[in-house]
Amino acid sequence: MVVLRFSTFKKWPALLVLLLLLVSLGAEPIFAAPTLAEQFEKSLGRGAAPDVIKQYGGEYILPLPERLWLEEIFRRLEAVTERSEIEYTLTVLDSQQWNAFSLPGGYIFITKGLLKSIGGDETKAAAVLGHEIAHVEKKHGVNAVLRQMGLTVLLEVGVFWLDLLSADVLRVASATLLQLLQLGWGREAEFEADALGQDLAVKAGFDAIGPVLLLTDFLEAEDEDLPLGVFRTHPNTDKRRERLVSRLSSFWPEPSLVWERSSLESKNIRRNSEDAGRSDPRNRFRVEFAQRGLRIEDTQQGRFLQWLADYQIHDFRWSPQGSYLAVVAEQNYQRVLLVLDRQGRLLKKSSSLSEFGQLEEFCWSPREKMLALGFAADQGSSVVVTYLQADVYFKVSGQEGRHPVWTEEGLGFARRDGWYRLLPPEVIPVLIPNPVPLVLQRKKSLLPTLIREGDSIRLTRPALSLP
Amino acid sequence: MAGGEVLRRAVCLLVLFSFVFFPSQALGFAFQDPTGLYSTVIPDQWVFQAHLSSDSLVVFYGAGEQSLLYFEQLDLVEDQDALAFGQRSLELFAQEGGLSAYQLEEPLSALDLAGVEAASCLYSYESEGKIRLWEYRIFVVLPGERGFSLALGDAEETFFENRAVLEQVLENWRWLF
Repeated sequence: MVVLRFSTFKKWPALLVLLLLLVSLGAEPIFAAPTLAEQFEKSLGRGAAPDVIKQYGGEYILPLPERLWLEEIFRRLEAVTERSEIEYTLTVLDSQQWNAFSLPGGYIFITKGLLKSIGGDETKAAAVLGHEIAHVEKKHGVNAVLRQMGLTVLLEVGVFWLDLLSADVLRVASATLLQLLQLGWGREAEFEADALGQDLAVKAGFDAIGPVLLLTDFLEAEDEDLPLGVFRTHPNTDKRRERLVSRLSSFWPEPSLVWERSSLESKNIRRNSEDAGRSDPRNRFRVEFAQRGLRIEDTQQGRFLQWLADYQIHDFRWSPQGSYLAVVAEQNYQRVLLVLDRQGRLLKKSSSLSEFGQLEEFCWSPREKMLALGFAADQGSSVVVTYLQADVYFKVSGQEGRHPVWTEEGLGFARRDGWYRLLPPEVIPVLIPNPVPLVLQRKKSLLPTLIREGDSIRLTRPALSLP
Repeated sequence: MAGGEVLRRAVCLLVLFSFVFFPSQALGFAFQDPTGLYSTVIPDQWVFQAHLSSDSLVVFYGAGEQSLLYFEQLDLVEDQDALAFGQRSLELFAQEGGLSAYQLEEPLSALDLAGVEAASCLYSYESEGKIRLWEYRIFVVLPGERGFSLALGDAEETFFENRAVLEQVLENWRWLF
């Protein structure tokens, strides 16, 4: 491989080299061979990577099933990147901190601690990796280093006595990079990486809600003073989350007209019937309106229960598999959406929904992960989508929409001129290609310890020992 | 010795003999997996672990502290046959991030599991709790290139006491396709 060094071009007009660098630092690579800037970027990352690994406790080798799972998520994201000249690598670091970062040249890092907090949630894992890949795609790291070293200015005025790939320059650049890494690439770069990361995740078949859920975790962690590492230095988490939420509707297509009004009337479309939504699909609970809250007959236990006694109930509906009960209730003259599990525990309570109007109707998505809400307002009706896991709401019906119905074929709703349908963005579950069998070990049973004390016995609480 | 006494002793010996040489062979329950792929007989002492099981994974705990029996249905595998599937899996088990202190005790060998070509082996490794575990494993590539695996594991000291369990499960194994 021919390595181009600046010294080679000493006698050349500086303008030519300036042009080369400026073009190669831009978004579109124009040469098949690696440009000088690409070489600098890769050398920079390659030089700093061992220091980062050392700084964060070394490389951690994930257990086989987790490794295959993470690699598949990473592979899917890498497949939708645009910088073909970059070969992305992923390293897990042996640190309990919640941290992830990228180095120029495609070096992506995630800590053991952050992976642990993500659990097996592929949307969150894709969100982290997508964000870090986006930094590389947008060259945030290399540009920040060049800026910090004043090289941008030098390049712009055409001073080219500097050998960009010399060991001295790379050493200084590498030190600068490691310093900057602690501070993040800058506020705007973080916002940009959030947006592109979300785009990449959706393109790769992950749910766009991933980054929102991840930042919600960070917000909670900030409150609990958990080891957030570099995320503390990122811009305000609230603001980032807000921006990501505002992008959610952009991943939904425009609704398409399925039947015109006349056809709609002749078809006499059956919406989710009241009965179908109200009876427990697993046939255990019978739910009725009570004076306050809901009266539940548990047919298995032969007893009556009262759920949500503090609320005036407007409507309720079981999810398709009967895992949850969604309820529209009134509190302080405002309608709120509540979601309960089968034990009657409150899983979700919506924030104020008044910006959309009055919540009138709702239905579940077939996989029980989302709900479509129908609002009536003076300025017109609308259909809004929310996730079970997150308190976020976004309009998908455009100007007008009512009577949401969600089936395997998509989310349908009515407008004055007919029946419209929306196909939610496709979410592809992570399937490990060419899998290997699991190796299971027995879990310790949490049995209480039995202590004999004279004629009596005492049961102690199960003792948990953390690995 | 009276004839009655001789008869009584003979009956006792017969009962004892039957316990020694036919240990709990008949004591088991028929199990059919939730997806209707296979059925077998599981010894009575083994308890189905509903909270660990799913459509693709079926787990039983035995009486011993480490005794474990599980069947797993996998997605598509690219291996040509059961031996190749087993070989690839064992290589990954042996790698860093695989099984701790892994050791192959008996190499892969071909096996007929109810009319389907399979491969079996025996290996040992160290558990998270630093206990040496032994595991007998069967690999199968089912029609349609879907992977399947059966495993019986226990602590090193008690592993071979489960031989009758394995025989019972394998003898009664039926594919339902």
